[in-house]
Amino acid sequence: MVNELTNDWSGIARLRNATVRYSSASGQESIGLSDVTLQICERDFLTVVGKSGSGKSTLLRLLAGLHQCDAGEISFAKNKKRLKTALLFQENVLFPWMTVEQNLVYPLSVRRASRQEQQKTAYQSCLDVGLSPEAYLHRYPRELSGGEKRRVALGMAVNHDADLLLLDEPSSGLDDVNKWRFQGFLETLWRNSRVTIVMVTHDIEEAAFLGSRVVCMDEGRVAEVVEIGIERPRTFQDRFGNTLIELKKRIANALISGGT
Amino acid sequence: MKRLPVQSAVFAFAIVLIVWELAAWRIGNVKLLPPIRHVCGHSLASFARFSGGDSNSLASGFKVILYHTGITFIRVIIATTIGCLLGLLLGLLSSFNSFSRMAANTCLPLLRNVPLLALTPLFVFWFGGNPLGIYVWIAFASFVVMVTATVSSIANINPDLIILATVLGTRILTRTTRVVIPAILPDVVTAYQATMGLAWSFALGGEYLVARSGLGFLVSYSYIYADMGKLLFLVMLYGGLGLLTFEVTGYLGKIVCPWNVSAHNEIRKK
Repeated sequence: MVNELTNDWSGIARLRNATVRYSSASGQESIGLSDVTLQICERDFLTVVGKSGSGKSTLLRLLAGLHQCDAGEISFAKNKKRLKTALLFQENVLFPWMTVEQNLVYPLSVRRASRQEQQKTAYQSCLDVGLSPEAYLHRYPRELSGGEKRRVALGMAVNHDADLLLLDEPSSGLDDVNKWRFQGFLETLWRNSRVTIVMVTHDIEEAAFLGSRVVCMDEGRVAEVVEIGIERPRTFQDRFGNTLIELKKRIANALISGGT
Repeated sequence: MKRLPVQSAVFAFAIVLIVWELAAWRIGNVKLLPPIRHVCGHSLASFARFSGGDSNSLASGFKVILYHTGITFIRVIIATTIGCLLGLLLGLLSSFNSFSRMAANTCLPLLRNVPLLALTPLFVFWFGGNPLGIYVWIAFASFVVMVTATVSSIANINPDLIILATVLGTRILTRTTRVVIPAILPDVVTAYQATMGLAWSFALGGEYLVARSGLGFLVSYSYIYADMGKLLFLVMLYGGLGLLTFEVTGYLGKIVCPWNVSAHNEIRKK
């Protein structure tokens, strides 16, 4: 059952009948999220799909603490008021006045880590995101390609040491090959770290390939949550396997029918 | 062959000089349009009269020019810097809460729409002949330009940068120093560059009316005696000084904002 919450909940975030409304300048109200009930478990890789305006990004912003619930509630593990989150934007947002090194370790500099620790982390992060430290650490964002910027942004988000990593269409705008590489990199990152990921995407294949569960959204509601039972690590061959194709059909049906 | 910007500037300047020389030769009246050699010779030398020196000596005339340029230069640098710093500070403060934002949004359009040079007589009236009035006047005019640029630049910061910094745990003061200020810095540098150029006009306005020294004072006296040669020399000097400060501040801007590549430079590369 989609909207059922378990009592022995051990997750890190839980939404209960959460509703978010937007007011336009003319005073008109629109629904961002409507009566959403969902729980996010530790080490979850939750992918969220849906049409434009279905509430995917609102869900992400609610989890990031950038929105408040207008009705219902959002609660976090260990009775925390809010989670430590990191948000990766679809527009490759990096601080343009900082070098790759400074961007990567920005979260460390905010918490006043030592210069030595920052340098060490920057070097390692650069390697982790698949870029050569010697060639990239001293570059400015304007000197990077779209894919490289995305990797640096992801490195920065990971260095925040967040409980929850929120990704807003991180592979949009990439060509297929770079998208596959980025997805492979993301899966490895998730397996090697203890981070919980919630990723919004328009791409059903990406959602099914990366997610442990796929949340299908329609008009601000959760239409269906599809469990992905494919074992990890997922291989390139899994993309073309029957299991994934069947799952993609199920997700597509949920999106078309809106869960009815 | 690609022409370099310096070559283009020299080329344009040479054309202006040729047209001037031809016009002066055609008009044939030194009092109306003196030729270049008259301006750079006789007129320059006669500036020596302002200090009671030998009016036939180019060196004496040059010394007078140097002295008055120095005075105006000091006024421009000190007053513009103070005005710009205050404008930057107030612009930043206006971003802190909705009340200061509302106050800035109400007052700035008023100030912005007043022709600044039209306010010169007010400052003359308030400060009389005191040179302090010139400093205050230049600082005020620079302040208006800078506070307007700062407020509009803050309003145009990519909101995602603020959200990113907030999500990554940046507090308001750190956010101002590490995100807001660097984000507006290219615009602030451009505004400072423009203000430095305008400051020569602000200085001219103030000195013209009250000062006993400075380039504006020389312009004022040259105008009274209808000395076209001196006036033309001063026009060229103002042009040169404006260009020099524009280039120097532009160069400093590149040092301060190394990440900032203007679209103009990108187009020039292609």
